[in-house]
Amino acid sequence: MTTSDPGFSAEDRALLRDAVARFVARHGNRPRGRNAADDQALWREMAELGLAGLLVDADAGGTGGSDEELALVMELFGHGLIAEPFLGTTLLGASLIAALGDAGQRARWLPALAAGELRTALAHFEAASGQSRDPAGTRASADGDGVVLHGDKSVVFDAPVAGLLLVSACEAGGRSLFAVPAQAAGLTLRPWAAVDGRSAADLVLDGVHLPGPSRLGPPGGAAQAIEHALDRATLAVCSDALGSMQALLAQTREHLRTRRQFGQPLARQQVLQHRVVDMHIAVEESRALLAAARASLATAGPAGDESHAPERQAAVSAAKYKLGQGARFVGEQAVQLHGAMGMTDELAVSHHFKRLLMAEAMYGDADFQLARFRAAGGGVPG
Amino acid sequence: MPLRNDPVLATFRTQVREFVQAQLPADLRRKVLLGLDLGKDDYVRWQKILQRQGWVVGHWPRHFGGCDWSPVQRYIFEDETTRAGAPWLTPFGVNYVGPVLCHFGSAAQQREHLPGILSSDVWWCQGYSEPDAGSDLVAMSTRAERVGDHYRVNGRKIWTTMAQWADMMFCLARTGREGRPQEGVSFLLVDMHAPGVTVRPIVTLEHCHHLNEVLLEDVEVPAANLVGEEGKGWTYAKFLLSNERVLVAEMGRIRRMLTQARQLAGQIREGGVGLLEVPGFADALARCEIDARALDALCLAQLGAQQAGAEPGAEASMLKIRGSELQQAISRLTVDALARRGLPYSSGTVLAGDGEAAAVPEGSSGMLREYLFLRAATIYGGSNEIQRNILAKAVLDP
Repeated sequence: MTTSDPGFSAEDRALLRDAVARFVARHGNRPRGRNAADDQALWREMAELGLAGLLVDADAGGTGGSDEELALVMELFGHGLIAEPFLGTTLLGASLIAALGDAGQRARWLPALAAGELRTALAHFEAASGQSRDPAGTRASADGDGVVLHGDKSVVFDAPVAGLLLVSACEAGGRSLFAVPAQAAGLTLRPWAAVDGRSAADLVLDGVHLPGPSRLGPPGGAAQAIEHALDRATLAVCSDALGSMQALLAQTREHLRTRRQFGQPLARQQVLQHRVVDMHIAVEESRALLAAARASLATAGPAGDESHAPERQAAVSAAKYKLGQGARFVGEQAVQLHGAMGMTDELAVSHHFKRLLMAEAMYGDADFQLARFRAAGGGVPG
Repeated sequence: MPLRNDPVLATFRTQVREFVQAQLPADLRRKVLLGLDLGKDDYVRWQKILQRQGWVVGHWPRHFGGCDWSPVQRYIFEDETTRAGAPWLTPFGVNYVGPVLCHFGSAAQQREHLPGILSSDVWWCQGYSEPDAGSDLVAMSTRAERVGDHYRVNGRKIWTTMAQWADMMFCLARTGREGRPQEGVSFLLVDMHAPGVTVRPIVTLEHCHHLNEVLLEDVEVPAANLVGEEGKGWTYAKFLLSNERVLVAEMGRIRRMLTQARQLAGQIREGGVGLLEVPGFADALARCEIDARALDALCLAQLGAQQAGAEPGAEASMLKIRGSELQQAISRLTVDALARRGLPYSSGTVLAGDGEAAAVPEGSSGMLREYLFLRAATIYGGSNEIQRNILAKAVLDP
């Protein structure tokens, strides 16, 4: 994945924004279709908009976008409650195949991914190690001309729709990444839906045999690329949360201005005014810190360049920590300020609340991010 | 974030940083970092050093003696000087009355007053708050009656910072009784050495004297010291406040305090390890650092929007709220560290004879004093509750 392409002009970005906004207006703010044919049609539409291959280079059939465009898309998705499996393919699959794959693997998978024909998911975390980014329970060992995988993977977002699972495993004293077809023998997938409607699965790998060319990158050499991809995914989730927080703020503001009690709009009550102000500040500081973290991600360069890694990690964890705290506050206060209406399934408020709950949990909660921020040296740059 | 990566601004930052390293006298820096009492001479000395570069008023227009700095340059200047331990650049002349005179003052007033601000030879103070008009400033009742070629001023001003050193005070006084309360207010320049001016010290909880009450009893102020038009003082006062903008975040001070908190925590041990290894403390410090990153990002975002031509609205209130809360949080953390040694305190000024205990890290009293002083941060400059009222209007009304 290169971010040094000429990239999107302001005009390109405006066009993308309009197209995605129209897509969100058509498909957002409603429960995700449970039937596979609907899902497939929706994904085809997203691929036609260039969203499946948003981060894939143009010469591989992609859109050639950067994390800035991804942030724009995620913010709109969060705002309009789009729950379609997305990051597993568009970000994690595309970036890991581009960063680690050889020419043959890239040619085989990236155009198919951009065309909407191949969907992927990253299977990295494990139940035994929780949020840790260094799980050690899945192992790859030599098996004839290939490898065999043993272990469990948990919280694999987007796995139920993925044709190809990117599975991390310990090998050669390091971490390797393998492309595992969803239909591979010995692979069991236990799908589930998260509280916000997102689809995920837990995996059991019981002697999954893979031929030689299934490894992405050198044996034991995938750790940095995975870490970088997870950082990008973390910020993408933050953008999603930011969109959701903005929607909640707008809906809460509207509610306070129109709902009348004690003979006047709720917006006249100072205690409610100040609460909305605190929600507003949480949104604005989240937006600013997130933009700064994205800049730091861009400075840290592609997955191979690790000289800026500590500051990148600190910046990403700081943003996720702050967004998580802000998301919890805005979500809880939006429900509170809507009163009983905020408890109903009918209002979008409750759906945003659950989406933010999910965002806080994804790719490391507040405790995890704070510890990672400290481990990376913390501090305040500038 | 374009402003963060702008090479021209990076060069400017380096230039300021190197200037401070080379020109900030070591004894002044030591006083600031240890939180010792600074005298008038200390402030003036630093300002005269800055003015060799024209930097006391770098944000003023060039033809008034400034450097035409953009708001972001000014932000960087304050950030770099303050974090390095430079004395507070007292704002009353350079940030408050100076720009008002540049915009609304007569040529004669500019000739008379601007040179003293540039040279720091004239010390200014601000006569706004009154005993019965704090947050609700427009309730002020100090009166200025026109008598011939002068105004006769009567009233009481309070919380007047450093009035004990002041040569001049810019002052809001009521010249009319008609119309809305805002319409009868005028902006006057009062000679603090004139008969009828009495300055009474107010000792604050940290045992320092920086606040005062100023009594004005039949003080004769020449009519030539009316700025702009009679009855338009409220407009000028609002203009003055709009000049503070992103500086209210106090980002430089926050950086300096974080550095000091880290250093202090390295010196204090608990359970066989330094405080930085104690999870509760280390997490709290990390949270402050993350909040500081967020505040800096918010400042730069607002400066970026301003540079792109956005009309300034109520967003500075956000910076005031978050900046003041963060200063209090960091100093609270510092006090939590110091509390392990029992909080010995020596103000060094108001109460004599209370020496600092030998066993505490150097600067302990200064940090404790800063904590005590900073309780004011959420009160001064429009309390945080007032800032939330201002923001509520912007967020809920349109």
